[in-house]
Amino acid sequence: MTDAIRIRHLAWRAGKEFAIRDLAMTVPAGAIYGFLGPNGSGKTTTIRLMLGMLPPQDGTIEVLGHSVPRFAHRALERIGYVPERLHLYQTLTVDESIRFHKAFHKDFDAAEAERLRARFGLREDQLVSRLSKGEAGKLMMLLALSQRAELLVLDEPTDGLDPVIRREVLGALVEYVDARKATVFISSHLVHEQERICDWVGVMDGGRLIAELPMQEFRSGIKRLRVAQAPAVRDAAPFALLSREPLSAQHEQWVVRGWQPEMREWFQRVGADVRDIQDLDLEESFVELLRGARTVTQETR
Amino acid sequence: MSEPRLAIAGLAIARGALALGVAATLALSPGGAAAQSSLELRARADSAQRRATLLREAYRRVIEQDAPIADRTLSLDGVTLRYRGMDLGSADSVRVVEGVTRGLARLRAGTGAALPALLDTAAWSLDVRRRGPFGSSDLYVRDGRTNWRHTLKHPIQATDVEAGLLTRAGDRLVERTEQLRDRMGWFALRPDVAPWGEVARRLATNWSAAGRACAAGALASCRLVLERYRPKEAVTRYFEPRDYRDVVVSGASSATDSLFFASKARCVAGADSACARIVRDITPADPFGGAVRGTLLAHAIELGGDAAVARLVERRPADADLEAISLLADAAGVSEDSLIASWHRRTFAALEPASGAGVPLILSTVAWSGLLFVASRRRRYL
Amino acid sequence: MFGQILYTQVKWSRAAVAVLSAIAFVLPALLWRAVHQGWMREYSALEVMRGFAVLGPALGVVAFFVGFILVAQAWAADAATRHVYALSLPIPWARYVALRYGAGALLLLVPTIALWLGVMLILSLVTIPESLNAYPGTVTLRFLLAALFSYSVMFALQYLSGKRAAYILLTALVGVFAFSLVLGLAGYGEVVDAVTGALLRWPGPLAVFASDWMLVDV
Repeated sequence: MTDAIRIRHLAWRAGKEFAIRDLAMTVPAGAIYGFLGPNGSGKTTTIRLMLGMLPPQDGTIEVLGHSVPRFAHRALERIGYVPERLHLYQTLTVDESIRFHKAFHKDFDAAEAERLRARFGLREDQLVSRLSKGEAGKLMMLLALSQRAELLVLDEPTDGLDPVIRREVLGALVEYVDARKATVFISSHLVHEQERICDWVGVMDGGRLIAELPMQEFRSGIKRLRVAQAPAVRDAAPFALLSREPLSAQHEQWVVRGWQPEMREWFQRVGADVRDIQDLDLEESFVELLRGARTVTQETR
Repeated sequence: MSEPRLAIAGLAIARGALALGVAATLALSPGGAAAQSSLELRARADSAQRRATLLREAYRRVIEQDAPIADRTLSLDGVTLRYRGMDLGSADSVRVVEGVTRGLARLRAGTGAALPALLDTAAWSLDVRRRGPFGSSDLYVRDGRTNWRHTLKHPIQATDVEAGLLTRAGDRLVERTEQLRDRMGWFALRPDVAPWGEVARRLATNWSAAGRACAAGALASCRLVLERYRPKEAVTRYFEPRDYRDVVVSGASSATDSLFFASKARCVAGADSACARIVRDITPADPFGGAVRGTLLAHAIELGGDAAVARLVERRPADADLEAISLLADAAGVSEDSLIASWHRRTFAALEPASGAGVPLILSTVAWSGLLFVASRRRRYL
Repeated sequence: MFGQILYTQVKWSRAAVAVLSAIAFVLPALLWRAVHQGWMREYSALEVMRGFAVLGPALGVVAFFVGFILVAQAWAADAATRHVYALSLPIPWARYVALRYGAGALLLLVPTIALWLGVMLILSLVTIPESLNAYPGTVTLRFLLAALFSYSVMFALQYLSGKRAAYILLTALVGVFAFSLVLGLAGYGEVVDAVTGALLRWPGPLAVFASDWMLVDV
């Protein structure tokens, strides 16, 4: 098995407002996959479909070799899940939550759980309902990591946490991944955070996966160009044009994806000239990617 | 619609021919000389049944002729049948006729020559009315004096009509017999529907010591229970001092003034002396009732069969001096003590606690719960 | 797994179970007291029978609430997080539901045993009329069955998806009401009686609640 998660032609709709259409996603085993997208793009919905909590209306989902939702419970034996919001029983204490979770996961490492509990500074007798947002996030991460799971599915695990706690949580995650070579699927709208740890990126917008590429390509392959005598036709270009706008009578600003240095020759062949090439940081790349996808959507309507 | 004269004449001819045929058969059979003296049907059960079958067939032939019928009445074997809300040729009406013929056959077997005197069937009429589209019916049995209504939650069946006739006959039986007038008669000829269990329960929980002692097996107390109620001697005959509170609460009172109600309140609150004082002044109501005594009549008929019915219908001059128990024991062909003992066994064999958690209830409740549990296991999603 | 489910169930329901058990324990004494004023005097068979015929159904009412409340407690904890945690556990949903059902059903025994203890206590203190008998086992078993049925109904309504359960319940209530009203007005009361009878008489689902709850009987 080379893919931890494989999704093909996934479709799901809730009412008239939101739909996931023809989603295809591949998460290689051992990868740290960053699932990016603005709020409301369908990240959490996709994760819930992936874990069998929602029924797909079309398409196939395979997680760790098991068909979901039919055999979701088998996949969940090997998945550590941290949802967006606290999902644990509020009237249990930290210790009771750990014991309850342990009862359902046969590979649960109680010693590791205790170690993480001490590291995160969680008291055994604290009620879950009395935990702060950060403490709750730490507890959920503790449980997921103590399961010794092959696949971690983390939905906005650091959302709303202060930088100190965020660093603690991500630090524990990175240690886990280094030690166990687990696959991590981490969803977030915090692009810069993903940049540090992910090696694959999937970008979601409006229920569609608009891009799925290695982080390196995402990081270095999106450029802002200043082009003189910009050609009208762009379909034959060797790169993906995300946006273009005029700067002056002579020059246009292009944002392209998949840029390679030798692509300058193409501009020369079409009578244009690249005057300037600017690197974009991940956040700017993400914004341009979204803008490009939304422009295409408007043009096709 | 009225019955055509042809149909009436045809039926009369058929009946006459049948009677002659039966008479001829009896005359030619061994012992026919003795039976020949009676053309009324003191039938053996099989003869009565044959006659009922022939009558039914004659009736069917009338219907099959598809003759117009002027009104919805039919006179059958001395009983007038009046139909409302259903067709004369319908399945309902055929069942009614069958019920009448079976009922009359049963009664004739038991009452023989005394049937007309007992039942005065010429004055009888049965009204059958359908209610609603679901086939419910009302059966009215009129015997010239009373109008008795059966409400049925199903289309009328022959057994309903037969039961109606037997019920009315039982009532007439007790009405015409002086000694039996203090007991219910509607189930006298139908011991299968007699309220044995209720009677047993009533005695076991009775507010009189005599009733409770009877339930416990004291047959002498049972005799007191089954005899005619004697209100003037009631306090000493049936009750003990510990029963007085219940007598005041449950029994009738002949006093209505405010002084009585004040005493009653004190008695109910626990003042035994107030209860004793009240009991001296009132006439306690019968703690047993007609249903209890009626079961002895039904049991006597159970033991003695049709001969018991015939004995009760027959009136002998000496009967006027007999107590009910004596009369019933004579009808059943057993001694009084045997009758009472046998009645006690029959009645208290039917005693059952009201509520239970028997195996059927356990199984059904667990099954329903299991069904609900299975339904709740259906896969759910967010 | 079942141990932890039971642990959580006990934790969430312990206050309710304690209150319901206390009520079940004192109920026999309250019923006896209500049969007639006064405690340790001689009761007549008639007043005992009448008293229990009228007051005995209180046992059925308490049994109903025992089942109802025990479901509500457990379900509330799952519902607070929209069942996300339960759905994320690595067991089939049907198995999870079975564990929850079993744990709750086990807890029904606590108020049932409390009732039995209360019955035995009051029977040891009062004198039953000689022609009557006490049925502590029968009444206690019936209490347990009634609580189990009530529990199962509430459990099914809660653990089916909310929308489906709401549709079923609403349809059933509106349907039964309309059916009874129309037929009653049209004079077909016997059909309504037949339907009611089918529910209340054995083997109908409500048979365990119908008829008398006679702790003492013939």
